Amino acid sequence: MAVDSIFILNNLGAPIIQKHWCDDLCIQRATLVVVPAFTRYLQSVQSLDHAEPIWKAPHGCVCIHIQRKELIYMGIVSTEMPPLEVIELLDGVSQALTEYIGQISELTIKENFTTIYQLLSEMVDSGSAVTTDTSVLRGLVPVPSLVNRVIENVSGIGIVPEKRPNVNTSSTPWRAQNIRHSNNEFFVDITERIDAIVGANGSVVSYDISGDIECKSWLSGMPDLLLSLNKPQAMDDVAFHPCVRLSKWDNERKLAFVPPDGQFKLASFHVSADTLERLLPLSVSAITSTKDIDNTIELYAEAGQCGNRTVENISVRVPLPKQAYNIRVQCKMGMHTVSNARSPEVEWTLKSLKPGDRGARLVIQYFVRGNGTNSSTDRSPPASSPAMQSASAAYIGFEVGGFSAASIKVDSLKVLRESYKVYKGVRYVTKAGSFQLRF
Amino acid sequence: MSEYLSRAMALAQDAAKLSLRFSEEIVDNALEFGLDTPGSFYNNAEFNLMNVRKALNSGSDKEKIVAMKRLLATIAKGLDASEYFADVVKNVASGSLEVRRLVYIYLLRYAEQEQDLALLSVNTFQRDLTDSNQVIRAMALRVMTSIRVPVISSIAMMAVRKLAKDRSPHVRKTAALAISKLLRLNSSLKEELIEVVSEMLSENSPLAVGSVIQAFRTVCPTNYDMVHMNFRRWCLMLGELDEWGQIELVKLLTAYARGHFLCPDTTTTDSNRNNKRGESNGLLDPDHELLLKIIHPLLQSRNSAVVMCAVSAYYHLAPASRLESVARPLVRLMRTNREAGYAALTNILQIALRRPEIFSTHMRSFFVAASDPPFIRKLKLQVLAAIVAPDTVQILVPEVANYTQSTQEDVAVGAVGVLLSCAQRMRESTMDCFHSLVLLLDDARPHVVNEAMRVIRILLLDGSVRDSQDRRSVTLYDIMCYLVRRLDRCTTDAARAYILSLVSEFATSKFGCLHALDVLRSAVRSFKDEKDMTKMQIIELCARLVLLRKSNISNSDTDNKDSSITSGRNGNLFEVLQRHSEILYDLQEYLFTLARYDVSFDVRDRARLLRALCPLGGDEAHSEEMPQVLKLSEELIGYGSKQILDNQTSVELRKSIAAQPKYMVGSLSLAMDHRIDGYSPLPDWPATKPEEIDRGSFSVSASHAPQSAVDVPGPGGSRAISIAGISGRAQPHSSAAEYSTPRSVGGAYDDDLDAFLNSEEDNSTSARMLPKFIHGAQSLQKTAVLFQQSELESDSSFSESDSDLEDSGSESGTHSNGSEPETKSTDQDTETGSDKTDDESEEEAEGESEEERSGDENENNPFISTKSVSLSGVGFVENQLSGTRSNSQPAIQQQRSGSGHIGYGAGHNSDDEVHVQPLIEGTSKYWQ
Repeated sequence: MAVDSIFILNNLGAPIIQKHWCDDLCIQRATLVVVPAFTRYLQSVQSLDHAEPIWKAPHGCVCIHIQRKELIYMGIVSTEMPPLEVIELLDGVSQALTEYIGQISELTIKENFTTIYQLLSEMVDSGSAVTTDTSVLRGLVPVPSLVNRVIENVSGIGIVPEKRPNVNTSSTPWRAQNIRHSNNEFFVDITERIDAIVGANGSVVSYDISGDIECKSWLSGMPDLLLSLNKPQAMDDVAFHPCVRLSKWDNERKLAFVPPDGQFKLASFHVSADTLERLLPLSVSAITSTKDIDNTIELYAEAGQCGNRTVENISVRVPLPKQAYNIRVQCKMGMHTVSNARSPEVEWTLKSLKPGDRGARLVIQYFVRGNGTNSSTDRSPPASSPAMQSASAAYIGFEVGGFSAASIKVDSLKVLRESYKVYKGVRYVTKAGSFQLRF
Repeated sequence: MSEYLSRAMALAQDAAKLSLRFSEEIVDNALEFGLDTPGSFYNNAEFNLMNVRKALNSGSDKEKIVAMKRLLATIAKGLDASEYFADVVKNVASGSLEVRRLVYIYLLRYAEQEQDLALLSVNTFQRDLTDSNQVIRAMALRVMTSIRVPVISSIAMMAVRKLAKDRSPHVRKTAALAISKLLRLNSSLKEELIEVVSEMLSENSPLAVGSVIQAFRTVCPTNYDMVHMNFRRWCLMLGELDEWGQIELVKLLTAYARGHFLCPDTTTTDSNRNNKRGESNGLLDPDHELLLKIIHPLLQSRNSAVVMCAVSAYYHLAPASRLESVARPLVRLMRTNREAGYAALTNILQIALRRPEIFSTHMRSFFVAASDPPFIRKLKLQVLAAIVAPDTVQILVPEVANYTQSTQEDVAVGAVGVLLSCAQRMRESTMDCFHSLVLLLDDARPHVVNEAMRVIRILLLDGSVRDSQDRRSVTLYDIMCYLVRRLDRCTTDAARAYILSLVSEFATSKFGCLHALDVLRSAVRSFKDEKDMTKMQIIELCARLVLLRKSNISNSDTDNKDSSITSGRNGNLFEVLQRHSEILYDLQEYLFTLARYDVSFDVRDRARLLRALCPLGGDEAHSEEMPQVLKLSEELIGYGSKQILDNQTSVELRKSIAAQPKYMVGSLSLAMDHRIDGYSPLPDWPATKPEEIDRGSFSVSASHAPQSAVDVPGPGGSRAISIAGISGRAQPHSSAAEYSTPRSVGGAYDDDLDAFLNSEEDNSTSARMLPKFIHGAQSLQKTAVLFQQSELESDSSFSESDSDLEDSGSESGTHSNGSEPETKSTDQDTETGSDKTDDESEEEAEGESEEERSGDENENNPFISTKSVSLSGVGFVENQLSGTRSNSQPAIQQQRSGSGHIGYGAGHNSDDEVHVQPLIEGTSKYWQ
């Protein structure tokens, strides 16, 4: 029913931080057997994200790991515990660290390891999760001293020797009692992600929009907010922050909540497919041709249906087969880079693309080394399958500001129970989630 | 002006002060961290340990902190820092909270090794337990109970008792968490702990309830008497708990509900839950209804573990008709991130295998994206194979056909499996799938070809191709010709073996009649170059043909009426075999001799077995036993194919029939597919209606909530759910789409040949088949002509020994396209076939004894042993042997352009890429 140990490893699989909740024998097992085996496993897979998150380790242990930024958070489990609980706990650790440390890297972890230890001992007790809520944690563990002191110095407030830790036991554990802000502000960010697979002929194979409603709240006192959206019925699957009152949503389709202070994710949603127009803000098409060993991929990009907005931060990644060589790239507009780390890959970036901009084009030419096994015996098929040796898909990224692909908008935001004036702001962004073009 | 100046001066002074203070701080920090590159404090910690002892004993908190940090960094790196334990423990009473926190971390790591010294710290903890700050009290209790020193367990027990009634819910939570730790430390405390837990169960603070329930689940998980009174209260509280508390509570309530409510689906208890589900027979117990209603909102949690827990509860508790609501949350989990997606997919697969219909509207979410890592791809393809339904198959098949061209080999192989599932379940798509599969045989990747061939074989054998709507466009004959033609180009062992196995399966069809012997001859020629699987298939093809020949003889010997039917059934094959029985026996002898000295023991084994079953012409010394042996071996070999089919195709289907997953949905055991320590299965539904139990009141009594917090009429209050009318309200009864389970394959098999042969009647339609097929057919017909020619030659060379053959040979022409007698006799075959399989077990037993006898005889039989000696003289030098043989068999020499090599159902091959089942059910059992 519990996690034996939690490790934080760098992307090579070397442990940086380790914390154990089991007896000595178990600690020895984890450090001497399980972690080395896990490291070896990480190095043996083709790339890090090919490593199975739930991996059967020696000695009856199971390593469950997540990868965030350049770090790997890994929990060792030897008794029954639902894998998602471990994943969620590790995710909570990673989020708490982000809040406490900011930019997470191997270096910052090493600089703040004491804070991490304190956090871990508050978040996990004898291997089971106690809390992963950062607003609760902030009451228990002070934010790293260096940052604290710099803040204190700059703001000119004298050094407080030690703040007594406290914990909020009210019915709104996510919001402390006496919050004061000189400017009362509330911002809503609606980010939509388009997950799509576009077929070679331009047909949309699969299309999904999911999104998040993120809020930044700097409000004094105990405000009660009521947020209504223009078409809540389009959201067919919504997950809420615990502060949202579900009954209100079920009955009136409005979001009523007492917000936590600072930045938080209010809800994440999925847009139902039947109310959906399949808008592709960026239309990309490809023409591929193969002549002997010479392959050509021509890519065209154009702003699509995005409400006459400018498509920004466009990136097109084309992984090429391992056997590709002599890669020549020409592009009109934007920049291109060819990387050759594990297998060759061409990346094309465009700052922006206005509607009506034409002629954004990328041509990739490359040769493919013949596959030795195919030509030797007389029994083998005369022409090997073309799929073997050509690129299969392009991964596309983009961003459209001020545009909502599912046209979900905030209708109104009311502040109840507090009388002050609130500055409200709303932003919409549509991004590419997993957006792929098949050749 | 002067005002401005003075203000500027003041500002500058302030700035100077600020910067001074700032720089001081920086110097301080630099001192603390050694003024190096970032992270170097951590990196160099273990090299700077010499001053630690001094620093820990110094008076300065700052020095102590630096020293403690060095020790912690050492621990973080997995190095040993236990030698400083004594010095560290002294600081447990330090006035600085920061020092104390660091000391606690160190203490917990090494207390188990230094138990005596650790006792020194207990006094401090006891003092802290009475601190006015709730966090300090909680921390002291937490650390004290986390120290694994059995001696202090009684003191800790007292502390837990005391703080379990603390006024702060935070402390009560810590006390509850301590209970499971104490139990682990000293199991003799169990009774006392149960007592404490039972007192704590009345806890009313949402903050602490989760931990109390966790304690309950560790200490006395099945003590449901304590749950009854709290059931309704907890149900109402569920929404207010924190996420981890929700998980604990749902787990407890799930286990409770399984023991105390009736199964919602009346038919759940019997194994075929698939058939009659959905009728919840009206009303559930009101409390059961309440539980389901209250768990439902958790499906919308942002925490994936909570969602999965709720899904698990729904899967195990809800009536089948309401299960639909779990699909969407699961699909959402799948999309969140790589790791949660993987965990969600493993569970989706388990649910989809049993309830495919709830996911069919989400099919597009399972389409494989090029960026999916291998483990996600694999699961997605398995889910796709499970959820294919009539209304989605039109979209799925082209999509999956696309995957087969993927550059990722595992996707291509997995896609073949999905095609199999589509083809088997949806008649209208069978031919599309089949065409894609046939095209795949051209693929350059051996695994893909093997998998495609495996699936083609299954589709041909289980009659899917035959039953599909536009089957008349292709005849079995065309397909077989095409496949056998492919033997020339197909290099992979398994695929060749599958093709050969098909030849022997269809030995009695039109194709078999015309070409089986020819294929065998060609295969025997290349026997020495083949790999194991193919070798075994060749042996088995040979054995089968010999057997068909022999059964013909014995039948005609024993019963004339019978033989007329049998010969009608197998028609011209018998004619051909009869005409060429000498060639056949020569081939057999040659082949079995080769196999006898093969390098692979599997091949040798198989050859030995089959030789015992159908002895060589020279072995007929014990011919008095022949009828039995023949009968037996015919049963084994002849109907073995049917059993293979049952095994092979239904493995995938049977899985879906197993009503419940082996382990609870969402559990680690399910993900790993083996029982993990500490897994406790859900109790079964009670068979009879449990008596009425008072499950407490709905009101939340305020007895135990003395906390001073200002109650905001926020979520807590408004989340309370109106209970009125829960029991009466009829739930939307979604019609559980009656999903037609894939038909059982075995039964349909017998009609196979029948239909195939029928379909041969209109050969003209074969023009619609792929041009390749026609090409294949044509060239095979050419081969057939060659075959005829060679027959003549071989006839002439063997005519001295068997002159009877000529008569029957002349008849063969008349039989070759007579399909009427064939169809009749297949019906006959069906009956006998089913009879025989009924008595399978008996036969197996019989077979064993028979086997042993003949085996023994082989060893003792002087004839055989002399023969083997004589052969071994020639046989070991293979070239020499084949040279000798080829002299006596001009036919082999002649057939250079022959079609290939044959076999079927390879043997005990442990290679897991290859799933050919042993030909004969009894075989593997016998030889193991």
